[in-house]
Amino acid sequence: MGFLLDSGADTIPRWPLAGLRIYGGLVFCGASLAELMGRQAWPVPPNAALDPPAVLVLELLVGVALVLGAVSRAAALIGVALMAGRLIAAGLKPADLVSPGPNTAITILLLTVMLGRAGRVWGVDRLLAARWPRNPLW
Amino acid sequence: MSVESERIVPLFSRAPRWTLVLLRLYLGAAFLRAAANKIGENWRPWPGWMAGFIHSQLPHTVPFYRGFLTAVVVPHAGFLAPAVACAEVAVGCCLLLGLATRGAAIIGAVLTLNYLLMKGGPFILPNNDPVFILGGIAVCVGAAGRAYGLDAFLHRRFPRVPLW
Repeated sequence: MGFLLDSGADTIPRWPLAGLRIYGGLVFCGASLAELMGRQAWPVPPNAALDPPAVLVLELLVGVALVLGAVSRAAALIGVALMAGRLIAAGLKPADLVSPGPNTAITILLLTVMLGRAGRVWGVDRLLAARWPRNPLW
Repeated sequence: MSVESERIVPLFSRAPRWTLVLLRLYLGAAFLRAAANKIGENWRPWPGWMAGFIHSQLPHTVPFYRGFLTAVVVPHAGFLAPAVACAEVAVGCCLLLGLATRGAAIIGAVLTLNYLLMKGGPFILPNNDPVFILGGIAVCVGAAGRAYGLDAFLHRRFPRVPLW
């Protein structure tokens, strides 16, 4: 039985995480550009206000960093904070944590990118990791 | 900077298997949540709802997929709707338990691809379906059930079966 408890120790190919990372980045870019042009992009309560421009610019930066795979863990962490703010503003219930909706799905995607250091495959973080392999930001 | 300090990260680097556990558990729970409104007291009306929902989505559907929906899915909704509900329950349970995870993940990804094609784009806006497809591929490629799942036992006993 004991081996079940440390069965997570071996390794997996990292490239599928790059697909998740790039899709998450594209969504952040697309949603922030849509909202900068005055269109609500995320599922929000009816007649909710658009996010302030500073948040939208931060969202765009997170998106670009995720697509490029540059400082991707820090970008994903900021993205999780943005999504957490959005979920809490919409009235977070325990059931939302396993909801199949876009807000929760994108949050889990960002957490997976962060845990798996997805920027280190097909991303700028591969170069950063070669120079500073132990830095937790990538 | 001396050459000795340079480390080369391989083009196809690897990550620890436990990184996929959160994704696997979330996908399993989300499939069960999605199936919850198709079973129980909704079991009888669900085929009718599915046909109606497909009709409401047809204007947005990806063009090459529209013919398949109208010619195959809607006429056979009486069989396909319960089949979809059962598949979602099975995929959700298997992913939560980490049982035959690779098969469950790829079936889940194919199911979600159908929903994605039915609902159509723009795919760049926040959308859960691509997350489920890409996440299913990641769970399948990484055999995520081998970390803290029943597949750890199955892989030990039958290491050559690609289903886990």
